[in-house]
Amino acid sequence: MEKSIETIWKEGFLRNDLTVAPKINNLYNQKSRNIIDRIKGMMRVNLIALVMFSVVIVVWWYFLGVLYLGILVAVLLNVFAYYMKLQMEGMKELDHGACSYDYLKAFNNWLEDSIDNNVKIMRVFYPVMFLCAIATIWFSNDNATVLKELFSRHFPQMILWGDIAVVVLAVVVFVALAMAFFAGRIYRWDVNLVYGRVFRKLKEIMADMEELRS
Amino acid sequence: MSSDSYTSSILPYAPIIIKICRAYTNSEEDFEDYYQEVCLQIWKSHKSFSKQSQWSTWIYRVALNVCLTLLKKSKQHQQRFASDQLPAEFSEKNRAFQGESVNQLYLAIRQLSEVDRGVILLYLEEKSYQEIADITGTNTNNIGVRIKRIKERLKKTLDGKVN
Repeated sequence: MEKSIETIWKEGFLRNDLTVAPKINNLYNQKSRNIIDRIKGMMRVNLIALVMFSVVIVVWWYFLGVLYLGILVAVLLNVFAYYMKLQMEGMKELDHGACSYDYLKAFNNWLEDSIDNNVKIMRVFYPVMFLCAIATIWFSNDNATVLKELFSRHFPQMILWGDIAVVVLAVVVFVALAMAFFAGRIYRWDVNLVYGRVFRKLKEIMADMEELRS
Repeated sequence: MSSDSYTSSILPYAPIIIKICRAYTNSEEDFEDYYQEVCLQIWKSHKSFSKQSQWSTWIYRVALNVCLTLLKKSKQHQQRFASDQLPAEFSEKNRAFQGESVNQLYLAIRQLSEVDRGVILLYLEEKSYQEIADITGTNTNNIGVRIKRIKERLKKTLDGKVN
């Protein structure tokens, strides 16, 4: 006679040999690996995008008639990409044999150091990029002639320094200096736009692990 | 909840969690992922346990919800049903438990719909119709009819395979 499913179930689990202790320290292993792999992947994509964008810029700026500025921007982007790549090499020095929490903590420290280092670069990078963008507007094609005419027609009393209105120059310099001053905030906002979600997840996992260890 | 209280709270219910996770996974890797996720979610959401139900009932509910969510996610990724990947025949790879009959039963359970899997597991764990209805969010009449249908289907699938 065939057994009922209830009998199969009861007999199957009579010995109750299923009890395996959930290993607390292992609970987050997979999650830690996933989140770090995800951040590394995003950084790699970001790096490739930066290099590809620099190529597009050169072509684009060529058609705007300011190839030399395009090359300058592309060089800046590639220098930054190379600097980021060098920083990413530092990730290899992290102890992969460490437990999840220690590895996550080391990774987080590396991340914070990288952001701090990048902020220093950004103090120069942002203003230079801004000046390049303004120079592009001014020098590309016939913009300079058109803008000069526009200014002289609407603001005839404006004081000029060479061909450029002093007040415009002052605003540009002010914005460039402000960008250098607020580089930290701008960069962190910029990073948050791209990596915000995964960074929050990383912090969440670390907080959970700290609570588990307490 | 500290590590110690976590272990002492979860450990007695590990067999329940294992039984549920096994019903929703086809490989050892998936099983381990599901098992870990269920344990994590229990630990993370233990504060929301209202004590209106038994601790074990609450664990069933969390385990089922986590398994169903993970299954839905994996379906979205793979764009196919987990049951599509089920091997048609019983093999060593599916031998998650000691007895052959119970492994055959699990193979049959995995071929049921996600909700039916949860219902039959709770039934086999001797939960009352009321508790099953509470956990699955339906009524006792529906549970009675559903269990009868599931048992018939399982019997048909197992026909001649176990004795």
